[in-house]
Amino acid sequence: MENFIPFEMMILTAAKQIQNGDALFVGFHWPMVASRVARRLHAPDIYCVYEGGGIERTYCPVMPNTGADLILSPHLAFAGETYETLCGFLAAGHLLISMIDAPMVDRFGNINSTCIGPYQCPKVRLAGSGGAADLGANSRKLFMLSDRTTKDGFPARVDYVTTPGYLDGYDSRIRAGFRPDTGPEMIISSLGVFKFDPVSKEAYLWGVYPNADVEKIKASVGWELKEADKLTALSTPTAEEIKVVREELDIAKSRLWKIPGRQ
Amino acid sequence: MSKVVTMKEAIAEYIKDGQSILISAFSINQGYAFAHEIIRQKKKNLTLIRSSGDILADQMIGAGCVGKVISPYVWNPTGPSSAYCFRRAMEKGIPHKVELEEFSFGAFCMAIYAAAHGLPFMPTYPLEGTGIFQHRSILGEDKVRVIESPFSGEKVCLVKPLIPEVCLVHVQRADAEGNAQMWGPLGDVRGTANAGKRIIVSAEEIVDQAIILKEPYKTIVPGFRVAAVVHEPWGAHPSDVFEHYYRDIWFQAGYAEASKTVEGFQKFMDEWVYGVENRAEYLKKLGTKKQEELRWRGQDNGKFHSL
Repeated sequence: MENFIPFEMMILTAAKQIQNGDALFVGFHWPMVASRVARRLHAPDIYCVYEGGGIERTYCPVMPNTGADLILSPHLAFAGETYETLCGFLAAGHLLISMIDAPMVDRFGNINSTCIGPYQCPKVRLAGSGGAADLGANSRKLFMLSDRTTKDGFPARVDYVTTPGYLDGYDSRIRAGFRPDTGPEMIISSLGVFKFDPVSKEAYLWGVYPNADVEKIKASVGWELKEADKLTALSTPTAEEIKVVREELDIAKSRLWKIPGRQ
Repeated sequence: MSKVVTMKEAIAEYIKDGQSILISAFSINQGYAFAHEIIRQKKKNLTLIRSSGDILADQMIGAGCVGKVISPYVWNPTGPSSAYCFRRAMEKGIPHKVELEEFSFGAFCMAIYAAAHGLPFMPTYPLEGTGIFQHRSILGEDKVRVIESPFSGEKVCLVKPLIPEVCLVHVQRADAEGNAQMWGPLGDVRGTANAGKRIIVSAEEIVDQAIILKEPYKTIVPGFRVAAVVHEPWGAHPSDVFEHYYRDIWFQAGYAEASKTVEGFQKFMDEWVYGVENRAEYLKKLGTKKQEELRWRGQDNGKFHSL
């Protein structure tokens, strides 16, 4: 199916990283949509772990407001505490993957969700970490989801490191005391998919959506973006895949989510 | 011995200007009835400690009750939207500057856990290289310290106990003595409700002690830790309470819209906080139709699908 927008491809590509049977940590926002799409398309038997202490085992027809929304109740296999989910299953390494929203992410995979401009007198003050710093610290494979398509969403260096990625690159993350089996895996964005160089830890363009313009992608990030020796062409979505993505975005919109490209 | 008092009495007696207070909980069971009464009584210069700042913190900041905030984040989850009063305070010092100390949720949980459990400090997850580690305000150098693990030699971040003078906790039910029960996903509250030097409970229901004794595993705070109990049905609206009511996302969206300007915020507060005497009047204003819509329906949550 040719009729889709990059934002929908971002959601779908994120969903495809989830395997049936996975237990994964789901951060707020687009990761929630991606996990719902995965559950409907190919991964019905997943455990979605949330910072509020709930673990979702079955598909909830209603879009939750956050992962802690009690509308999820009939679909929870576990109603516990933050000490068991965020500071438990995630921190102790029992979740193979995690997903987090990345409204501003830099060349080393550090995410800012705290402020734009100087911290003491911000131009725009944003929400702050919540569990985002812990996801950066403890996720074994952290997938970062971005709906952005312009340089301000991909600065060379974020104004504030809310979620630690590879910090200053190379071994700086290890030197700062983070465990070697943790860290960012991929940035899945509306521009395309980025992976991290195994040595420098710099993000490079790894995969592109159908009809992508690589030069335009390079011009849309704040650093000199390198690309893989052989770019991966992500396949055109099927009609069924796009239908499910759109239905989930409709459900989110019915619960007052702001959806890019929709009024 | 009955500790049941009205909200007005509880706040007047136990909350003093300049105190540090923790208001429950992470996203759910938020103590809105506590917050609104604090605002009506015009308490000043409080240090507000919250695992999720949320709209509740935004309203207290906008109303000028708060001098300091210790929290992992402050936002409005519906949309999501900005917490506009928080933004005005941080960006422009309106209505006045607020000192903010930010933790990761994990580090916050550990600091408050240390307080609840009488520990000198708690280790937490790595923070070096983050803004949370770099920027320190209220707690200064003591916000996070780093040591070498005596076991492995690894770097370990430590946080010290975060002890609120008063914890204000909203639960599903309590008896008159203060044995407070909460169930469903609990966020940080089970581990942290007992962190305060003093604890005030508000409850959807006040029940006979026999009901508490029948299901003691639901008790998160034992009566002997509790100074006062307030009966406050719908005390957490617009947040949600397991097996009582769902989250009012429409109300949260309305607040986002209203609070975009100082005038809009003031009008909202005049209507929903200053303009009502107590929670019962607030509820009357909310209306029975809205209450019916939000009331818990067990396994059948599907009605919201068509809303």
